[in-house]
Amino acid sequence: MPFHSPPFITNTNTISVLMSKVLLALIPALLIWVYLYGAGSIIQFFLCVITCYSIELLILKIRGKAIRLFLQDGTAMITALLLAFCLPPLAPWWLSVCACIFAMLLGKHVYGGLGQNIFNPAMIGYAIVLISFPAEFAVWQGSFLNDINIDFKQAFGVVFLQQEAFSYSSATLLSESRGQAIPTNINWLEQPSFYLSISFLIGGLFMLLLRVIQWHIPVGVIIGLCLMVFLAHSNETLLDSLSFHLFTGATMIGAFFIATDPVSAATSNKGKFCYALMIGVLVIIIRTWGNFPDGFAFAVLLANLSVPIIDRYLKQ
Amino acid sequence: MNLTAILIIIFIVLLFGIIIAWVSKKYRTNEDPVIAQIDQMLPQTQCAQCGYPGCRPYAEAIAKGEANINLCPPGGEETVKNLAQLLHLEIKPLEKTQESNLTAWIEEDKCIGCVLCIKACPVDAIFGAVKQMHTVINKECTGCDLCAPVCPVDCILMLDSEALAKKTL
Amino acid sequence: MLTTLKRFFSPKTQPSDNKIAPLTPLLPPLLPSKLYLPLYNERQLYLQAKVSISQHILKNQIIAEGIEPSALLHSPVAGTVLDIIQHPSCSSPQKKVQTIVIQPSMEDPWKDEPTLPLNEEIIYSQLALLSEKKLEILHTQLEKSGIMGMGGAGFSTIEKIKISHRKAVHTVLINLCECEPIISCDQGLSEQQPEEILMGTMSLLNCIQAKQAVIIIEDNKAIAIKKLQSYLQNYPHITLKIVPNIYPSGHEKQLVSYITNTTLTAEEKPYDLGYAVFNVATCYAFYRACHLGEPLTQRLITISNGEKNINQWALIGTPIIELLDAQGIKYDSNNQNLIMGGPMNGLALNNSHIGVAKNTNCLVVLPKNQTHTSLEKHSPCIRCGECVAVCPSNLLPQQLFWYAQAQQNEKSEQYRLFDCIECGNCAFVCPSKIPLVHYYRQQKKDISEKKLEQYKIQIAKERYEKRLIRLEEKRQKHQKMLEQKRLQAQQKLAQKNKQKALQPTSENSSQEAVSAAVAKARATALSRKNKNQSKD
Repeated sequence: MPFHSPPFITNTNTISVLMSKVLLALIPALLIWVYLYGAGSIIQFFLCVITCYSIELLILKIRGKAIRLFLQDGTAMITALLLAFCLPPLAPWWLSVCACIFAMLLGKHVYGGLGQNIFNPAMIGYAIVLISFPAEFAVWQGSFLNDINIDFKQAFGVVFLQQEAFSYSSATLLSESRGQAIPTNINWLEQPSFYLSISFLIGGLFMLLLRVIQWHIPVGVIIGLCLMVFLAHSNETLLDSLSFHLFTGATMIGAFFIATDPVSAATSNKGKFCYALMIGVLVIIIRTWGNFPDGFAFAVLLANLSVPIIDRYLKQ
Repeated sequence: MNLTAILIIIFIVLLFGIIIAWVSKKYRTNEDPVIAQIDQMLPQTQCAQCGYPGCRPYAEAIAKGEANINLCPPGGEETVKNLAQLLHLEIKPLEKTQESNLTAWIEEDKCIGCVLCIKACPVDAIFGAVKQMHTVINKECTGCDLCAPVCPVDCILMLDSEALAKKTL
Repeated sequence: MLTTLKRFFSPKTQPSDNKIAPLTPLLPPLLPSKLYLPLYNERQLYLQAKVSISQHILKNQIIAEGIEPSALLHSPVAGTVLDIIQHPSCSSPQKKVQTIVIQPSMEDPWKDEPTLPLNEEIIYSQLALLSEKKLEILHTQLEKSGIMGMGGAGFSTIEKIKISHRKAVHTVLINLCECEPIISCDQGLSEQQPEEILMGTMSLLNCIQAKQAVIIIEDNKAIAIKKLQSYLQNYPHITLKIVPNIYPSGHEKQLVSYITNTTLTAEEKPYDLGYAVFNVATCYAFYRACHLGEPLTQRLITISNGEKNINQWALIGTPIIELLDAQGIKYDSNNQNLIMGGPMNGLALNNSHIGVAKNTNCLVVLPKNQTHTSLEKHSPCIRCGECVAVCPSNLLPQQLFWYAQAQQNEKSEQYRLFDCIECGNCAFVCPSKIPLVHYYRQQKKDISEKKLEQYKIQIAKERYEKRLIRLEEKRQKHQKMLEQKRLQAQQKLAQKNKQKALQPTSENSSQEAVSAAVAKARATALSRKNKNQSKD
């Protein structure tokens, strides 16, 4: 039976168009990341993208879904890239593969695939490997700014052949700040996380302009974060300063790219804002009193959990 | 020591037993709420096709476990499904089916005014008097088909909404 | 600056630009070879033919009537009734209904039947105070004009006027916002006939006895605004309100919200706030009825294929295909959709030989690949919230979709499903291309049917219970009566016994009389016997 339902015209916007806009917004950060971390990061990106797409293809086949339709939409690409930004650039290959499998499987397809997941898939994958293999995350590659520059051969050796990576590593500002009190007067221009944060910010503003995302979530996250910093800290050491929390760790990528995942976020505008505030507050709580250097993944997952109740009380 | 414990427990059990007995007596509902619930689900056509004189008696029979839940043709599969859900029974296919949403229509030029249909109608939806032409109040008719068989001149038709709209033109 | 900021923070996107049709001068009505006039009107009412096959008829002659006095069909031309056939109509494209086929007469198709009576009271540019009796006469006369709401809903205009008068409407709103992106017939009409529209508005005001009228017009109709303003000084009771051109501003609820700044809920009608909304085409038809005495037999239609838009006068009943052919628009039923109404909220027709109806404001031919074609092929909802941003009723379409799929009717009602006006904005912007409006319509239908059924069940139950009580009462009454009768009988007997007890002698005497009679009889018998014996 032919099916005719108004409207008989639609705009050209599709999920893949939406996702390509997100990809476009990720390009500046991608370039900076590759510039800072070199060959390892490129290997890591390809590894994540290939794994995510293979898993997606496999599961779609098993579930008997329209493969072309779902592979075209580009959501697997976004998940893969976000994961690659979270993992250490010289992480062993099995770590990335595990993260991708968990992300696609436990984050997305067990709930029924695209649009049904209650958690952010990338954050599920990341959180599982972070809890399971904390040692691997302790080794973070030093950036180009620390004069650490490795070629493909070295990176390949570390990622696939289990070669020693310690010589390339350096502590990140976030993990360093937990051990000792760093004075506030640091030169941000020497910090890789500053450049990355700025590039994510630019990408995020670009998405806001294209109206891929709405202002409620990024603004909410940052307001929640600021609020908590002012409430909980006295601004004496670096750990207490606002700029530190804004420009280290996953704050910017989180506020613009992770928390804004529409599927797992709250529905109404008020709800979105409330959800974002919660993330901002939780991030600072976990960073200050928690066991992990950065709590963005956990903050997002906890907020995802409370989405049903937010939706129930903040309908419009 | 053991004896005291046992005595205490017996005492507590007795106490709660008395409370429960008192509460159940005090707040007893006069009506079985299940019957009302079942009755609410039935289509209230009062057609008696289930073998009971009306929807309410059928509901009572179901509640007692005397009647099957698949005896209501006007309610259709939907009613069977709802009843099965309420009473945790298996869904059974209907014994006989019936086209739903019918309305009785009296061919007025044939009607002889015998008032037999008026007596048969369970919802008083037929209007008329002895030796006067009768007519059906369409809005109130439940389509139970009880009036058609009693008509001595076969002037009552059961129409669907489309045919009715054409007739009432 | 402030507006750009506001737009940035609450991004209400617009489905598509309301392209102003390159206005050709309005074309006079085309005389078709045949006219198809269905005996089934825009409000799903059957009509009864008042003409017979091969009868000769005049223009404006009443050819069909319905149970509502204003549900009328007039012949748009003089000619002959060719046949009465089963044919699909605009109001029922899926099923065939009885349709009168008229062939215009070759010599004089425009030969008139005596027209409607004219009333001087309502044709002035000033408000006239009319008595209730006079108004009633007026309304009855105007019922014969057969005017219907020409914006799309097809509600009888005279009925609307009567209700508005009853509800003491103080302000009449004239809708000059096109109801859909492609349509431009209202604009065309107001550019060509501005004064007639104002005159029609005054007649409406007088018929309703309202105080003022507001013409609501979208800001992209500059010529129409200018023309209307130049005539407005003669009409002190009519004002013009210019509103932004954002679909669906032509919807009744949106119009009222422009004036009152409150949104109507699903249950409320504009009358409840003292407003009545009339389409501008209705207003013009009303002018023709009041001032020229003509019934409604023709209307302005926008004909479009997405690129070319033409406004054309068409007789009611003209086959669609002849209108399209006259404009050189090709329609291929395999690859194209023929849509009555606009592209956002119209109705797909599968037969191009249907006659146009009184509420056909637009005919669009669009390629099929642009449409939502199946329920299975679309991507899942990713809850992106594009639909929330464009919803004119401030609903959460993605939640409604969720509950519609799960058939959770109660939840949908909590999320105000019935406030949805089915404008199609959400489905237009949806990146997953979900036919959202289809889901909402299905669920609304489902809920309404269930509610109606529940209501009917309730009524039937009440009537049944009342009948049982009545029968019981009757039985008891009957029993009482029987009881009384028995009592009466007993009393009578008792009385008799009493009387007998009072006169015991008479009883004895009677016994004596009996025994005496018996003795006498015996005696006679004995004597007879003796006689017989003596004979022997």
